[in-house]
Amino acid sequence: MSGQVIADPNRACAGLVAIAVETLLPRDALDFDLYLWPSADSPPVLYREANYPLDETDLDRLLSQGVQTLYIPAAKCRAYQQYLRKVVLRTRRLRPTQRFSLLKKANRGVFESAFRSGVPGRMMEFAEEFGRQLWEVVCDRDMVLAHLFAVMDHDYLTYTHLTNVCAYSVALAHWLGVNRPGEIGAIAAGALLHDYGKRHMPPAILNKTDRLTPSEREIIRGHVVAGFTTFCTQENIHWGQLMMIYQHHERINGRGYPVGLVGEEIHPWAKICAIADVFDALTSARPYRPPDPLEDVLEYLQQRAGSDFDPEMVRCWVAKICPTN
Amino acid sequence: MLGGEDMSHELEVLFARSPCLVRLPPSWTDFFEKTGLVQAALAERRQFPRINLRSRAVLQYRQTFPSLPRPAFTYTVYTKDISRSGVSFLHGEQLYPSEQMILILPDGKPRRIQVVRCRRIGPSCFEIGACFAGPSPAASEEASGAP
Repeated sequence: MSGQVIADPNRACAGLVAIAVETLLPRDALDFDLYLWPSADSPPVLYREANYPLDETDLDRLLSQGVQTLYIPAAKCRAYQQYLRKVVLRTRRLRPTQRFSLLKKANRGVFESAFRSGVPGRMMEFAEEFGRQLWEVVCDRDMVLAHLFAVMDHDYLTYTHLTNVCAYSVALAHWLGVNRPGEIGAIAAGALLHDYGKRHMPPAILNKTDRLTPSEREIIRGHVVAGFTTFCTQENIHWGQLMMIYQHHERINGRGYPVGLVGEEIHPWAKICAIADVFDALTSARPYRPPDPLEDVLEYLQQRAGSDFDPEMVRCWVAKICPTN
Repeated sequence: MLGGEDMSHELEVLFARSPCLVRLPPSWTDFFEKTGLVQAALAERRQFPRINLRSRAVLQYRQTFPSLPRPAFTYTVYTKDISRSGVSFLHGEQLYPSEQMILILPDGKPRRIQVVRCRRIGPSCFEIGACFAGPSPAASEEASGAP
């Protein structure tokens, strides 16, 4: 069965997670439905039900039509991750260089889909103007990609969160007037690493459906220091990138962590990352909760502008994402 | 042995040369009066008990991270408490996890420390938690036969 339009596009759109066509093998029966979602303006369409294998012709046709990403329900991410480990991440069928090359190609599709993930407004214009250039910049950074793929292996939803936050961070930085390609590229790479510390957190806690216990919350909070200490002694990392990792949970009223910094003590790249991080966390589906409507998320940010988030940055983000607001 | 202000002349000279950037919160008027064992919070699972050590110490910066320049300045800091494994102190600047520095406690001995955590208390007041990281520089120089 294919071609069925989902009845409630708003809910369904945000309930899906991008996966790369490059990672699917012909004749494998998949444990999850596959959706096509050609543009943010139209609802996703069921492409292939679970357990109906794709064949070579299907895959060739998708790629020849420029379809690099399909979508799966967020609740099925664990099943996809197991599949990904079996056919790509941990298979002996691929040499390390082949695996890296395949993941690079696959990542490109997921990365580009982050730009058209149902967010209206100027995001699409930005994607058309900068998406390809930005990909080239990020693609040059093998160190960043290697870490990104390690996160993909650990927890697929954290990986898609990183690509989304990357897209949102560079868009916000650009709209705030950052135009030098080197700086935009550095912000992109920093955003792709900002939650790397979650690689040290148990997936069972990362995706827990119940409320976290205080000790589990402490473990999760440790991801910023874990990420920082992973990269702080490396030669090829910018201080601003380290601050995106270390400070993206700081809030300008001092109620964030790990330090409780206020206002200008927080690096501007970390302030950008904080908005992108919260925006994606609330608008994306997770196995444990449905996404919040875009209007509610923008209102959430506006209510916390000046207390949690930099007010000028929030104003800019809301104006571009929702020009009529 | 570590407590009190019974310091050597050399240490006093070092203090005089090392600016103190700390601004204690106005409500901390009794900061230097606390003594004895630190009452551990229930959630804490520390290996060794901590003892209040309210005094001055000298912090010598060391370059640890390639992307954060740390000129070899010295600063006067306020120690808070100490245990067998580490020390906490107040400083006017933020330090970062994994940074390695030298701390000269009131007994005059320099100790290598590694920052574990940093929490902002107020303007120009950061509480730093650090662990002792290996032998003191003097001891290691003696062991290696350095002049």
